[in-house]
Amino acid sequence: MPCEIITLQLGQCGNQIGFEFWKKLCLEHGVNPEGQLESFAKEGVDRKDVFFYQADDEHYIPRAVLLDLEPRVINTILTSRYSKLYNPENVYLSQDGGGAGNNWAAGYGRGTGLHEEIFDIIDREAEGSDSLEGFVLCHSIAGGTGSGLGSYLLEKLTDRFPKKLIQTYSVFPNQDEISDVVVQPYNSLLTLRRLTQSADCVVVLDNTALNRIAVDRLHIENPSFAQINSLVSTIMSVSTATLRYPSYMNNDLIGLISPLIPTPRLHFLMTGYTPLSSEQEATSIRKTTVLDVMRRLLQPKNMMVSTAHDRNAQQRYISILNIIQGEVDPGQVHKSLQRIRERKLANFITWSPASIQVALSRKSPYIQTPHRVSGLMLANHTNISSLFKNALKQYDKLRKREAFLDQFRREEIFAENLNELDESRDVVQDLVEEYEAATKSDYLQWGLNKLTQGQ
Amino acid sequence: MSSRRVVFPSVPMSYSSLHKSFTVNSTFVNGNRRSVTGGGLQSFAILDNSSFIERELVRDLLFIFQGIDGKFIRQKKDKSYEILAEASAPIRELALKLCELGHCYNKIKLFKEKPSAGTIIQSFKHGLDLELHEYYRILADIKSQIQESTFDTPLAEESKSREDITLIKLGICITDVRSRLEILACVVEACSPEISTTPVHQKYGGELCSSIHLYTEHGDPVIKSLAVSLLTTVTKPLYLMLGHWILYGELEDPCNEFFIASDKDCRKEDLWHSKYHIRGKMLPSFISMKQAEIILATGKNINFLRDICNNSTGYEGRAEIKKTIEETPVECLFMENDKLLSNAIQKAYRTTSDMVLKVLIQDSRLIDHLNALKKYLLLGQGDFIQYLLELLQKELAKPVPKLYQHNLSAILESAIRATNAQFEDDDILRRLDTRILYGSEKETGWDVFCLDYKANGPIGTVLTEDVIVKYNQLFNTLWRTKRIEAILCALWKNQTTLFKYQRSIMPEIGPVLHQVQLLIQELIHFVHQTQYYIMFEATECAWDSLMVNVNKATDLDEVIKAHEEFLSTIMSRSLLDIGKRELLNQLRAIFGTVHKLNDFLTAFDERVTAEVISRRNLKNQINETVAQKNFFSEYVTQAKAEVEQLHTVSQDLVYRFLIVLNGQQDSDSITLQCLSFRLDFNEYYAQRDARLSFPLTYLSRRLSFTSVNSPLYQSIHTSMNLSHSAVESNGLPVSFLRQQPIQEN
Repeated sequence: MPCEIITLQLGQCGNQIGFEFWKKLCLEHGVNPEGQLESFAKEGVDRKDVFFYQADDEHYIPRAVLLDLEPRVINTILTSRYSKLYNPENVYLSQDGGGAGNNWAAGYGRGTGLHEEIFDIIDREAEGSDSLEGFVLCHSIAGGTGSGLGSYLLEKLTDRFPKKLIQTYSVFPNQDEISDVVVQPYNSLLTLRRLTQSADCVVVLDNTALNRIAVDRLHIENPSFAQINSLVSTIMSVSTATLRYPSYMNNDLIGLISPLIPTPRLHFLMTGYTPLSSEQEATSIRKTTVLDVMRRLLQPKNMMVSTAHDRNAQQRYISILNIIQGEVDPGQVHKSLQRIRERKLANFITWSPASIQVALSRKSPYIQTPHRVSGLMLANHTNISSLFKNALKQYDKLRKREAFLDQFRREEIFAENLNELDESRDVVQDLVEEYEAATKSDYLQWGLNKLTQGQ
Repeated sequence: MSSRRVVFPSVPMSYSSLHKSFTVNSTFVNGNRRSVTGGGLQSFAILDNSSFIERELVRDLLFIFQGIDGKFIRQKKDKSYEILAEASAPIRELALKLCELGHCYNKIKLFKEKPSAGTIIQSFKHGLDLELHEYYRILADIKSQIQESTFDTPLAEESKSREDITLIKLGICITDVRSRLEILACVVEACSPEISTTPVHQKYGGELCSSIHLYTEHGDPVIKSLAVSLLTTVTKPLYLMLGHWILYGELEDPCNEFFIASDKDCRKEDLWHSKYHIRGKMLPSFISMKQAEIILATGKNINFLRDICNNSTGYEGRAEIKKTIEETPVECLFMENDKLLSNAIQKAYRTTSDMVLKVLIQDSRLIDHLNALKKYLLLGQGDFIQYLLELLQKELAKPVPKLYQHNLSAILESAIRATNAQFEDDDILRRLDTRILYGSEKETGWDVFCLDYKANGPIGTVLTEDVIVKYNQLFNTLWRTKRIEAILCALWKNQTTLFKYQRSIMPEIGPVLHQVQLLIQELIHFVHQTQYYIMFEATECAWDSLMVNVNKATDLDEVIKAHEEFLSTIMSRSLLDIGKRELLNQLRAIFGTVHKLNDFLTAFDERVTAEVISRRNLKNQINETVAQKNFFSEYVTQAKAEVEQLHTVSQDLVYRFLIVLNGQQDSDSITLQCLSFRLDFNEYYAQRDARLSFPLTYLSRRLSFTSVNSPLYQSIHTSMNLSHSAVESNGLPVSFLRQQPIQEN
């Protein structure tokens, strides 16, 4: 069957969210932690083969590759109930176990050495699928392995599989708290360059927003990683729902992302989810309708990306896809759209036709949720550039002081000079400018001028 | 004879008009005229001669009453009566008047003797017989009285003192029977062309019942009760037929008298739709059309169950209904005093309808099949459709004559095996097949390919061939849209890749790429929104109401109707109505630009790849700069212009599509406006084109009131002219705008 997707989990964060993602997929598809199909699960309801394949004994194995340079998280996975789920050959742990030390350059540098071993795994997985559609990369952009090795992999994947799509779920660091990773701004910037140039679609998971949502909306005082990751796994599973529960449209990755991404670089997507509820908060269930869901999805407080609200800049939506699950009366969709337009709840770009796309997706029949209707929004919004601006700002602060550059210089890529940092800054700056240009109505012309100047 | 036609509810026939035509032979009249004029009626009795004649006439009349000529009275060729004896005028008048009974009798007898086929007519004749028996009895009675009075016995004197049977007495004796016979004669006349004085056709069957039924509502209780008893006899065969039909669904009607007819040559598949029908002419007036339909449906149900579902066990409660029918007097048919019969029919109808629905919905899983049609023919099963599309690319690019059913079917098979369709029920998969619609040699597989669904068995009654053809058409349209989406996705992917790789090598193609990307985006938006619209506003909304209606349905016809509504709604909303040809053509024209873009980009890619290869051979930097410049001036500028042109054309087509969409006036226009709403959600088109800021109807009204020199007119007109030239130069159809404001010049 066509359109398989291989998931690559990188580093501590990537493996954690990946782990949660697979847990969720197993629940949704009725696959038990050993990969066996539960007795209550029926075939034909869903497509498991996008993310799983079947071993000779028919048990399901995730198309997942687990990579890390230090053993802690992967060991947790391998000692969990789900240890037998993964193909052990797909788990790669660096032998020396030293980790990347939260250093992008170290992670990137290790990539060269591990290239063959890693790509052996990836190639084998790719050959095992009938018609691979692409890769999904889970990682954080702030640490060492996810960002550094992730960047390396992004570059190499693009070379090796030029026709395959690469989507990433990239976790952006929490800006509300002071990170113990001092070089985080360097790491982020360097990773952002690869995300801009090599990925086809980046789903931004902003820890700042995720934490705020956990605190403000779910009333958890000190949200744990597990709690945050459960939010992330919800986003990941719903955003792949249309691939796993085929219906009229958006049945493959390209069908999902192509209407969202107008030009190749504007591929950073925000997400929003509603209704949010944690286990403690099951009491506050309200009656949900499609309109409620679609309206709430447009509220900034439900967005999983914390963007500075900027009144003057006229930030706009480039595109929106709402994946609605649950009992939906299809007639309501149009009414909701009308209401949203009447009240001008969504400010769209003016240089191209754009609208809120609504995909109705089935829900897993095996999981009971208290809400009648739930929805995920995937949005391409120009305001995402504020994240990049922030990254630039932090980077500039650090760079001005030439702080903590020693550990970078130790790695091969920075051995001669720091050009890599400057180039990355240029790429991210360009990206910010392109997003800014996209807020204006002459984006078409801007693109022509900008690109003509370039040559 | 008078040519007055009986019109209900007039008393049978005006015999006063009839007797005018009786002629009286003048030779016998002369002598006694005076004596007649002198006395009153009473004076007859005492005149010996006249009382003799009267006696003779009474005797004769008894013959006449039985259709036999008497000694003095006989019937002439023209059917009028003449009296040969010499009698006074009043007596003659009286006798002639009494002859009317003979006249009636003759008519009835004539009708009875005429050979005619049909059970109902036979029972009518039988009913007449019964009446005539009574008549004969009365005649015999009278006769015996006469004989007693005229018997030549030695006690003649005594007998003389007894009262004679006079004409008046005779008249009184036959009053009752006469009015009955008059009615019968009337009915007979109304039913039979030979007897009738007016042009009527031979009535039989239910029609005959209707004619008799007319009299059952007569105000005269005698007539009424006569009609009722006659109708009771007449409807017996009808009642039997009805019972047979209701109980066993069989038509025992060799003479085509029943109001339900069957078409013996009808194919099994069409049993429900065209085998049985109501014969309107044969429908007795005491059975309403609605009732007839229920009766028809009941028998149809039984036949459907037996012939299509092979279930001939009968239905629950049939014995009971049979008993009711047997026990209920025939009059119940037309005398609705108690609702026994109609309740029984209603019950049979309900029971059989429920059985049919159960067979169809539970046993034959109609809903599953409808769902399958939605999944496969209306593209609901996205993964399967997508894979099928991918596999069929090559095959469908071939011209129609080179398409082979078996190739397509084989590909269908592999698409099923590789996707979630494999988990589908075997029965459904067995029915799924490919089909090549009729197409000209110039067309390609894309124009004629469609999926097919073999709906044999009970579900074939809902999913008839015509219905499946509609599904085929819908599939083909949706399929084409899917294909455009697939092309655009491929283009998007190629562009993204090209951007990633070639930009570093050849930054000079950037401007072209940017423009192409935005054009692709616009088209993707268009195609996606069109599909979302078809999926929600057309398919899913219609599906919801289909499910509601099917669950509500109480018989098969309602299910069929609900499904027909479902289909026609989708057809109309998917622009497949005849009235929406123009929109469909415009939509296809927009799709056409996707193909053009595809062609352009294929050429563009080739050119760029060739250039990349030739550059690799260039050794030094200077040569490369030169090459870059040359390539830019030679090709890139031209390519950029080409994309711009394509962009203008496609936008213009979208504008026009939206204008026509907004101007749609039919009942479904609200839903169509959903499409234009989706297509221009952020009012991108509306802001660029004045024509879209207000509805078309308003625009045309404004135009007709605006003088040609007004700025509004001119601005609009200019923009339209511009779009003409842009489009015509590309050879695309200019169907819409041309007819609009140009005529006003």
